[in-house]
Amino acid sequence: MTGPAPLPPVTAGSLAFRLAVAAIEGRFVLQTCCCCGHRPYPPTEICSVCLSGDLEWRDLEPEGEILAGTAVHSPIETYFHPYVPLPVVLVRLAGGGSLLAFVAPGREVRGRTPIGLRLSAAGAAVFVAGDAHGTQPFGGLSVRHGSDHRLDSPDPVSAAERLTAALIFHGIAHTGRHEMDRSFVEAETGGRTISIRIERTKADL
Amino acid sequence: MPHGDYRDVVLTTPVSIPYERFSERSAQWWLGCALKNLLVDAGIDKTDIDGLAAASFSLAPDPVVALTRQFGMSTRWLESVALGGASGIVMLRRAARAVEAGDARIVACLAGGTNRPGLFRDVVGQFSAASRDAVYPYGSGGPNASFALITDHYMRKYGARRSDFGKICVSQRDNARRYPHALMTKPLELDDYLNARMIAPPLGLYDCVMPCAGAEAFLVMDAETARNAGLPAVALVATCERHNGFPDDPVQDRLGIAADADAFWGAAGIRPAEVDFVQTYDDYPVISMLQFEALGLCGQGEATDFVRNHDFHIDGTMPHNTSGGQLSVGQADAGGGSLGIVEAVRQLTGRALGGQVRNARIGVVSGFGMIAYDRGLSTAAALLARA
Repeated sequence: MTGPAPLPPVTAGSLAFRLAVAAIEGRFVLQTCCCCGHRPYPPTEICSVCLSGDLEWRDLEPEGEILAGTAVHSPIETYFHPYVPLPVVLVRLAGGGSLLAFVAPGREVRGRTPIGLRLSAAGAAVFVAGDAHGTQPFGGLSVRHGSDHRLDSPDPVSAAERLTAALIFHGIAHTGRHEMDRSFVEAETGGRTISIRIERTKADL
Repeated sequence: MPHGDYRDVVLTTPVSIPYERFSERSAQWWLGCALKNLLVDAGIDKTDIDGLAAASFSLAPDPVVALTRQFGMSTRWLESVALGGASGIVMLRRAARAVEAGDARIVACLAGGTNRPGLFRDVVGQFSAASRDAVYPYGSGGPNASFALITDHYMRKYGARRSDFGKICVSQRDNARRYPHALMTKPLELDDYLNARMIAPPLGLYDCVMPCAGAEAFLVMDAETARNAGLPAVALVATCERHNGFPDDPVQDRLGIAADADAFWGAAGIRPAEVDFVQTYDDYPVISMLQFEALGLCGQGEATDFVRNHDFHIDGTMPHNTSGGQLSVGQADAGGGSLGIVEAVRQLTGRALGGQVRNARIGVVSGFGMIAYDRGLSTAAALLARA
C-alpha cells in the first residue's frame, strides 16, 4: 500500500459515545426508560413509548435473535474495502428493539445468538453477533479488560492514534472532560496503554 | 370518473430535466432549469406562480426559501418537503389544499438535485442521528445494506425469490428503453440480473438504484385555471400519507399506506384493480412489492404471486413504472419521489415520452422514503385521473 491508510469514519454522536465507554469497560448496555422500562435503540434522549426524558444505561443479557442478514460488498468508506464482504445482521433483543451488528469473524449466526459490544477503530461502539466475549472485533481495535490494544490493521500505532483522536474528539466535543478522563483511565487499566496524548490534543483543540 | 376527495384540483405541465450520472452543477441549477421549463411549457409568466414547493437533499447550505431569491420570485405560499421518496406526493397534497383554500393559485412543485462524487457519502453518513450512530459504522453499506436486510427478511417470511425481484427490474428496463431520458438503456435479461455481482446479498447490482443528478416538476392549480391556460390536466382524486406506520413490526414488511388504503379507495369510489397503471417508488424492487401490497393491489404477503401473475410492461396486465422507474432512469436526489407523478400526468394526458398505456384513464402513484434507521418512515399515495 502506498500513502496513508484511509481513516475509518468517525460518525458517532454524543449519546452513542456512551456505548463506546461501555465497550471499553467490557459491558453490554443499552438505555432503559426509568418511567416505563422501554429500551429504545438507537440511542435517544426521549423514550418513544412514554416520552419520558429520564433514560439510563443499564447492563443487559448480551443475547438476541437474528432477524435478517446481509454482507456489505461495496462499502461507501474506503476504510472498509480491505475487509469485504462484511457480514451484518439485524438482531432482535429479548426485551424488544433491534440492532445492527457485525458478525464475529469465522462465526455462523442463526436463531438466538450472543452479542458483544466492541470499540471499532474509529472509536465508535459496534455490536458483534456470535461472540459476546471475544477480543477480536472485525477490522478494528479491541480495547478491553486485560487485553492489549491490538488490531488487524497493519499499522497499530497509527490506528491507536486514530482511536485516541476519536475518543478525544468525542469526549471533549460531546461529553466533556470528566467523562473523557474516566474513559481513558478505563482504557489504560486494560493493560498496556494506548498512548493518549491529552496535553498535545488539548493544545490542538 | 371517480368522485374523489378534492374540489377540481389538477396537475399540469410534467417536466423532466434529463438526468446525468454526475454533475458539477448545483441543485439550484437543476431546480431552476425545471422551473424555467414549467414556465415555457405552460406558457405562463414567473409572476403567475404564487406558490412554490421544493424537495431536495443537495441544496445545502441553502434552505428552500433561498430559491425564491435566487429565482427572483415573490410567492405567497412556500413548502419545503424533506421527505425523499415521499416528497412528491406530499408536495402535491400540500399544494392541492393550498389551491382549494385559495392560499395559492398556481403552485410549482420542484424535486431533484445534483450528484457530485462524494456527495452521496456525505448524505448517507449524516442522514439521521440514528443512521450515523447505529447503521453507518457497520461497514458503511448505506441504503443498499439496509434494504438488503428488509429484502432478506421478506424472502424468508413470504418465499419471494430473486427471480421475482428480477422480473420487476427486467420489465422496467424494457419500459425504460422507450423513454428518452433513462440513464440505463442496455437491454437487461433475467440471467443478467441473476448473475450480476453482489452488492449486499440478496441484493445484486440491478436491485440497487443509481444516484444521479436531475429534476422533475409539475404544476398544481384548479381545473378552471388550467382550462383558461389551455393546459392538458389530470385530476387529483384521492391521496394518503402516513409516517412511521406499523412501528412495532420487527422488520419493515408493511408500509404505512396500508393503514389508510381503505379510506383512500373509499374516497375515490373505485377498487384497486380498476387502475390502468401503477407507479411505485422503486429504490429497490422489494419496496415496489410492499407498495403493491399496501395499496391493496394484492393482499399482505401476496406480492410474490402478484408479480408472478402480472406483466408489468407498458402493454401488460398491470403497467408498472412505465418510464422505467428509478432503477433504470436513475435516482435524481429527491426527484425520485416525483418521477412517478410526472410520468402519470403524461400517461393520463396521452402524452407519454416513451411507451403510452392505451386509453389510460386512472392511475395510482405511491411514494416511500426516509430510512432513518432500519426502515423507511414516510409513505404516501395519490390517485390521478384523466380530467
